[in-house]
Amino acid sequence: MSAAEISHAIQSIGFLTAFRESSYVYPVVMATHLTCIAVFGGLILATDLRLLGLALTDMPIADVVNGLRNWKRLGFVIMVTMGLLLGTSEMDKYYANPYFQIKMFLILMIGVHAIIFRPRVYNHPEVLDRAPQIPRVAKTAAICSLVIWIAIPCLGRWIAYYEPPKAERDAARAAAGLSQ
Amino acid sequence: MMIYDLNANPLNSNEWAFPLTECFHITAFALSIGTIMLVDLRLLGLGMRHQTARQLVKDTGLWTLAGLIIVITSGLLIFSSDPIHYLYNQAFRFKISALLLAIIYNYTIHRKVAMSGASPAVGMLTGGVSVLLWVSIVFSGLWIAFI
Repeated sequence: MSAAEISHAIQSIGFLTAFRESSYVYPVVMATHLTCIAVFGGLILATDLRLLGLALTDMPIADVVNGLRNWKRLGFVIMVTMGLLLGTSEMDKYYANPYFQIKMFLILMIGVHAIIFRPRVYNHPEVLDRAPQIPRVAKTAAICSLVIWIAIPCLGRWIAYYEPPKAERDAARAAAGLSQ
Repeated sequence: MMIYDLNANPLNSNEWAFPLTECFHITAFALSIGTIMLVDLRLLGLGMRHQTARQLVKDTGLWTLAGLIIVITSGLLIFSSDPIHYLYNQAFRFKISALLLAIIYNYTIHRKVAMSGASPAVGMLTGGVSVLLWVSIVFSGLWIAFI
């Protein structure tokens, strides 16, 4: 099976078709996805700014990291659930979209970031507070997080503006067995 | 009479200008709303309980303001790309009303309650209203594209 056929098969799953064609559920899910960026994405930015020593400097790093952790987790789960619905229901359009592909790569990078920096930074924030200065590894974690987390919604926007070359579009539709 | 030529606006003539402005808009609302949510979580008694709401407001105030300035500036630019379309859009009208209300609320009641160390019940009510206001603004912002 080609990528075009797999994508078409995914978005043709009954409830995804219904979801894509619904006039209210689709925008509600998209708005929820966006609201998560505001509410929980903002908490990520605040944590990063604390690690860089730029905001919330009157309070220990441990309080910021531990105090927001569960909320960021909850936000992440909601955001990804909504994103999965939005992405899979329009798989035909997205699978060959380079901005979508970069976005998925960056989402993978969130996992890599966690593997690298969790044991060194986020799991022991009280160690950071005891250090005379914020350790470089914590600042590196914050900068990487800022870059990844700002790039992801930006790419999300860019996905919507991508126009595939017409020949490619027609070939994909033909491969999926759709009329031109 | 001068007629505003939409095509002369770089947002409409440059391929990158519009999405780039939207990126600033999104990042800035994450910053401003996120820092307000930090205070709201405390007011609601749901997070950051080692700090007082007063301390959180003082520590996030500048970032909230910086975010608001960028989000409003980029919002005005986006608005300039097609003013008539936005003015006649019901979701946009709702959004702007809620935004004005939210900004006034944030710098009056919300600030006063957070700074004064009010009772938990008052704090919860104040934080709850704040969350609802800001969430409704993001929601209606997206809705502009769907009506």
